[in-house]
Amino acid sequence: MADDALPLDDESFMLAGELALGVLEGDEYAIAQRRLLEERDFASAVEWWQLHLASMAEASGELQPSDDVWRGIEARISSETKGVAGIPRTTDQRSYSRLSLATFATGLGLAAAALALFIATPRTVEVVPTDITTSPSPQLVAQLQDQETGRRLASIVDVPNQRLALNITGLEAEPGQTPELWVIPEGGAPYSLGAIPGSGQFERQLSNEEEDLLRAGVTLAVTFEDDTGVRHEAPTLPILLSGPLDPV
Amino acid sequence: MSERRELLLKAISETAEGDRSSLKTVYEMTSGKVFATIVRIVRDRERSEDILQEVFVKVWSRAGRFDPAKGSPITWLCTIARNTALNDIRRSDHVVRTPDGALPEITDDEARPADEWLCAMEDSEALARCLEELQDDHRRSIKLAFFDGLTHSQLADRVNVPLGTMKSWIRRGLAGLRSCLGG
Repeated sequence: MADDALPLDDESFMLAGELALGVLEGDEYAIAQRRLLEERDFASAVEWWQLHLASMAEASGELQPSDDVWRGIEARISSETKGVAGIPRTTDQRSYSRLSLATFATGLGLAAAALALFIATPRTVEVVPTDITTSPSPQLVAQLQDQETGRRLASIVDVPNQRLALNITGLEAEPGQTPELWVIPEGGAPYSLGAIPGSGQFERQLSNEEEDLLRAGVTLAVTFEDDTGVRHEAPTLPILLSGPLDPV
Repeated sequence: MSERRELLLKAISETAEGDRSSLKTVYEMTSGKVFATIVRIVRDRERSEDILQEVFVKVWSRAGRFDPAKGSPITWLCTIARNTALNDIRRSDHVVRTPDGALPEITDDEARPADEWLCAMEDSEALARCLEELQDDHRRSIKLAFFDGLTHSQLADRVNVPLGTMKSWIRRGLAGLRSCLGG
C-alpha cells in the first residue's frame, strides 16, 4: 500500500480519519465534506485512511446474496451498454443548450469577455477590468483548471437572470460516468449542481435554491460520478477541478 | 501474492476493458464479503442487495480507476461498498435498531490459509497488529464504527458513554493507528 508522506497538520489528518471511518455528523460532517472538495491534501488523507481501514473488511465474514442481484447487475449494465451503442444514454438525452461565443458576449457582457480572455490565455487569472471592480456586480466568475491534465472549466453566474454558463475542456468521462458540478457554500456541505457535458459550452437556468447558494466566495468543484441521471448526495474522489467563485 | 488475489487483479483489469464475464468473476470472488460489509451497516437484507447491485454497477464503470499500487482489490471494493452503504443510510436518515447478535459477529479470520486472502496480507496484518496495540475501548469503538457504520452519537448510545468520551476514544484510536501504520 502506498504510504506517501502527507503534508497535513495533525488535527486535519485526524478529521480526515473520522470522515473515512464514517463517524462524523452534523456540522463536523459538512465541514469535512467541504474540505474534501477544496483541499487536495485533505482528500489524499481521506483516501489514505479509507484504504488502510478497509483492510478490516477481510474480517467481515461472508454472506451470500440471492441470485437476483447478479441478474439485476447484468440488466443495468446491458441497459447502459445499449445506450453507448445506439440508444441515447441519459447524458445524451439531457438538453444541453449550446451557445456560441458570440452569444456569450452578447448575453453575458463583461463576464463573457473575462471568459474569452481566459480561454485565450488559460494561465492568466487577472481578467477583471479595473473600472468594473469598483461597482457591485451581478455576475460571478470561476476559472478552474488543472495544468497537468489540461482540464478546464470557466463558469459564469448571471445573478439577475439566474443563468449559469460554462465553457468546458477535457472533462470527458468513461462510459457510465459523467462530470458533475458541485458548489460548496462557506461552512456548508457540497451541493450538486448536476451533470455537465465533458466539453463545449453549456448554459441553463438556475433554481432559486441554486441561485441562493451561488455567492461570491463559495467554491465550485467537478468530480466524475456514475451517470444515473440524478444528482448525487456526496462527491466521489478524486476531485478533478476546484476553485472559488469571484465577483466580476 | 496469493493465487486468488492475482486472479482478482486480472479480472478487475479485464473488467476495465469492458469484459463482462470478468466482472462476473469479480462478483463471484467478492460478493459474499462485499455483501457482508453492506449488511453489517444497513441491517436489512433486501436493501443491502439493492446496494450490492449499485456497488457492482459502479465497479463496472470505475474498474479503470483501480490502482493496485494504492491498495488491494478487496479494500478498494469494500471502500466503494462502505461509502455507498453509508451514503444510503445518511440519505434516508436510517437508524439501525436491530439488536446485536442478529448478524455474524466480527471475527479476525486469521486461521484462513494465506492463499485465500484477497487483501494484501501485509496490509491486513499491519492493521490487525496496530488495532491490537490500541486500548480495548478505542479498538472496539473503531471496529464498531467501521463494521456497523455508526456515527459518534450512535456509537455513544450503543456503548452507553457520553458523546465526548466516545469522540475522545475514536480520536485516540485513530492517532494510535496513524502512528503505528506510519501515516
